[in-house]
Amino acid sequence: MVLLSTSATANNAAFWQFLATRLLVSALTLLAVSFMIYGLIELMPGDYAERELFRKYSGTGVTITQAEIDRVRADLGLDRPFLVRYGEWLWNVVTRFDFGPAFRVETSVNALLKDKFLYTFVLVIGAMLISYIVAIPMGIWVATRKSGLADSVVTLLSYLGLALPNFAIALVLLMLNAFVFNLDVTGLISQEYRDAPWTLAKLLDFLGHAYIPLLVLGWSTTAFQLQTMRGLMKDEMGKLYVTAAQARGASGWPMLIKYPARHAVMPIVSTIGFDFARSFNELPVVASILVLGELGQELLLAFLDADQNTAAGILVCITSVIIAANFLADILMAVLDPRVRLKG
Amino acid sequence: MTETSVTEVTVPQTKPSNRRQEDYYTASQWQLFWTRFQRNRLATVGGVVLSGFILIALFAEFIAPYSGQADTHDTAYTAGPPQVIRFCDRAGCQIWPFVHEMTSSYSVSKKGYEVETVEEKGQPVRRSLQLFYPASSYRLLGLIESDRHLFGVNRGQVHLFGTDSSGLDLFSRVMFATRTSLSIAFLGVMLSFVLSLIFGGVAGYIGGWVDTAIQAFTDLVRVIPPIPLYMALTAMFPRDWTNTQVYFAMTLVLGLVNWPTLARRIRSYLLATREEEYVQAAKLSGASGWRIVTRHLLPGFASYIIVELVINFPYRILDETALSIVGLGLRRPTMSWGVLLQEMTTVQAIQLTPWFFIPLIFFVVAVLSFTLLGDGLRDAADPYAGLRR
Amino acid sequence: MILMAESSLLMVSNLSVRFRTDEGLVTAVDDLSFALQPGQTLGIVGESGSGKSVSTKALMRLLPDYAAIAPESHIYYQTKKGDYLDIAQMDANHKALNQLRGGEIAMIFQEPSAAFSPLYTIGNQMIEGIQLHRQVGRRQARKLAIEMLDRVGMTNPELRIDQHAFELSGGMRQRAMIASALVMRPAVLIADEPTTALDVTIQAQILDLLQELQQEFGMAIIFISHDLAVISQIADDVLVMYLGKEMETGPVRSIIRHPQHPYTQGLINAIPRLEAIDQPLVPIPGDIPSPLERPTGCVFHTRCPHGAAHPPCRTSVPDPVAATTGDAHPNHLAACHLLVTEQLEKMV
Repeated sequence: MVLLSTSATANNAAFWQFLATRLLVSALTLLAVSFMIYGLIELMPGDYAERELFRKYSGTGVTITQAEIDRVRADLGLDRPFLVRYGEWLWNVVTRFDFGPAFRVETSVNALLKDKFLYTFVLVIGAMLISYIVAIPMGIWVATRKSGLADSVVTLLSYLGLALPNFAIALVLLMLNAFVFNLDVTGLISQEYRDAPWTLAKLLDFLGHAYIPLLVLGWSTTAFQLQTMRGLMKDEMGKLYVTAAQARGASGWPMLIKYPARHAVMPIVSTIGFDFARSFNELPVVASILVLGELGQELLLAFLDADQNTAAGILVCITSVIIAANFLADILMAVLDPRVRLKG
Repeated sequence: MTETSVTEVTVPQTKPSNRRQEDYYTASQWQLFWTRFQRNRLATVGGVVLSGFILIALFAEFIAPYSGQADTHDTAYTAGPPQVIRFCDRAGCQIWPFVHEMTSSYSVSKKGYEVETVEEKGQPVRRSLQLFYPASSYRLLGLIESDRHLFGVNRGQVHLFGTDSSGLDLFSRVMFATRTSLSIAFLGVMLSFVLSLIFGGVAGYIGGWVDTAIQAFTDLVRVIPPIPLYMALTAMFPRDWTNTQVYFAMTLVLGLVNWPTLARRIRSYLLATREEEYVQAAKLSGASGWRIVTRHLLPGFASYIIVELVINFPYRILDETALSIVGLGLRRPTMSWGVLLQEMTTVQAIQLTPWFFIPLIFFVVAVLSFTLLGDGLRDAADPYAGLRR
Repeated sequence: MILMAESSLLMVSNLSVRFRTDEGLVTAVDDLSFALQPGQTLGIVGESGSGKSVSTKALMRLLPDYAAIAPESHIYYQTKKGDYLDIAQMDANHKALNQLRGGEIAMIFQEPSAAFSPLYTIGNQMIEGIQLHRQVGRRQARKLAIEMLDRVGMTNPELRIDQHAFELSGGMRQRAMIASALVMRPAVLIADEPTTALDVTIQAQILDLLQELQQEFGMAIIFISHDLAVISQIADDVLVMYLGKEMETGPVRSIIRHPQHPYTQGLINAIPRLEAIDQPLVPIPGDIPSPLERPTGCVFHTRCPHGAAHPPCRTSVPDPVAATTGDAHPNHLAACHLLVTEQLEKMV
């Protein structure tokens, strides 16, 4: 990049120091969040031992004795103090990336969630990419229009993005589909591929299903980003440095891209992590309506059964993606904005 | 003429044509705010529509002809479509509007409900609509005992929005759902407001390490996406809780999960104003901390906060609805938009009973008018909105 | 009005600029005419809202989207090559405008910190300007930029060129701004309150620098300020504006010594003077009227000490007439009814 060519060499040290600080902050955040999550589950009334016995004997008329509960607890290691269990769990996660056994389905959390993570991240990242690819250039373009029409359309879209949220769009899609197209819009992968290893055919099948949730998930983010981008671009276009660049003779798209667009994109970049959080936020509801067998439902089941390992695994994975996105945003900001790089 | 004599200086007279301008300059903040707000037609429309929603929420018992609860099943009209208000039919016209008596029954062969108009002597049976019809009694606003409903029919029931799959009047249910959804959002917003005021206020006013600590904590909460976190918290609600308990727990959770953003804004506002001269002057003259916050800092912030709260409202409605739809929020027999929409998440329901979508329309209109109102208020509160065009 | 002499570099005639707002059309510049000679400095003075900035932005066609130049306006300009252009009548997307901006007419601003984008180094933005107007390679452009930074008095220009505006002090930033304008060798430099944001000592340095550079490069300067004292130090001619209209114009000496217009007199009386330190300052009474409530007749009559007593001021727009007091310069004009009446009385 041009801007790095000359000034970065002199300021490399400051830049690396900035990176190291942010990395440390991210790691600490992740640690604190994992503790909060694990603790939150601990606060739940009842634990997995009770729930399992309750399920096992429900309807059989057998009375569950305290001794039995204690035995299951001991088997699962739930009788040890909270901090010990948290420490062990954390140790395994950090050293071996092992989230421990899933109580609920008698397999490891890793095995249970492996494919589901993949689907989730593809969906979330895909939806975000769609929203950036559509909203950023569109927002810039709309901001340069002089007529009020484009403005009105964007404003309308942003209102619809809020008033017709993803779940409503999903419902409307279901309805449209029921009346008009008669396609299978639910699910993420066909039955025959569900447990098959990844092949090209499976990937194509996945993509064939994924476009609907991608559109649904991308919709309101795009509407929102478009409005934001247009507003930012409009603000930047009125700033003095743009007038100054024009007064130098810079003009047209090269000027717009070099000055106001570069400035306007930065707030968008700095909120990448926030956008990730929002996508993760919307995914469970959309997933439930479109019957996508991914993390959302698994998380709910895990919580309902007080399956500490699975629930913590899912939440920690989600938040670590968000924290990683925040870190990425920090790096990008430092690269894009010398003020961040030079002042820390 | 080359010398200017000071004694000659007269105060320029204000001409009558300057009246408007003068009014503009001497108007109070609220008058200015109101003038700017009224100029925004969309926002005014939003406000009017919203007042309608609030009226529905307050007087749901009166507006709804039935209680919408299990005791008002219309067994002859299960999953029936909306009934048309008519003045005329084959047998001629009448001045007073009426609906036809209809039945709905499940047909196994057609895999759906079949609707028939009941006929007597070759003529469809009419049910006349009546205003202020006496039916089940209730307490209006919890105070006034009454048995009058806005409308009703002289025999059987009337279903302007059709009925749900157990024969309950959808119109009545939507009215009560409006109350639930708006009130839960309102309480949620208020709770997060109080929390954010406490955290943001303390952080912004005290500053220093307290600020740093609170900031670190809010940042931590902000990192966890609210709905998954919410799922975790909802799952903790014991199964045997009553609906009232779930309702309040949900309000609590909605409030708990959503405060950090507003707290952050309050903080940065206070940090900025804290250094302003009039606050410094108040400090120097020995005003107490609480007095400075309430008398000097908050009034300037009031309009900002109101706008922020109105803007937050639709998001809380959205949260409740989305969570209830997927079965994580309120459950039957509580009535909320989300609970009513639960019924339409199956493809079959969508094909057979499209009127189950009606609550979605209410939801969309409510969110839209809140957003328009919020934007209008924000623009009116921002004195530079006009200059920025 | 100043007639266009053969030698005029820039001649503005009947320039009007209007803003479209929600409340209707607002006149920002009203029927303004003036001329600029090569190598000369024209000072434009007036309170904020007097249209001085807007009229100079119109010269470069840098007005915001909601502003429109009235069709009867003309801005004649003679380019370095000797061609004549009418800037006011050119299409907004005309290619020649981009050559004009920076290459012929350059501009410096009140806040250099905001006029440089913080995302790029000063060098980057200077080199951009050079390469837009001169056929030189990047290395050559960089060399020119360093030379110019050196010329405007930057210490360590080789180092400074790779710094950002926010890394410099206020005075250094303004020097960088001047360098980035002059490195394109414009024939006209528009300086929009370039010293207002600076300390008094640095203000004096910058004024000296501008005069030095004018000697060296021979460009004409349009110097905008609300401060008549600053204008009197640097300008050859002065144009006094109020509410978008020309109040008084003429050689600086004549205007300061024999101000004809009550507004100019008010401005001069409002300047603090060392020799009159124990006398109270005399501010001009009242505030600038809202642009939506433009006064009829003479726009200044609502604040003029004589306006209330003189009926024509409220009804008819005064034409500029030549000053006749004492040794006022023949090019010294003022638009005031009182002046006309006074001259008529003398003739009788």
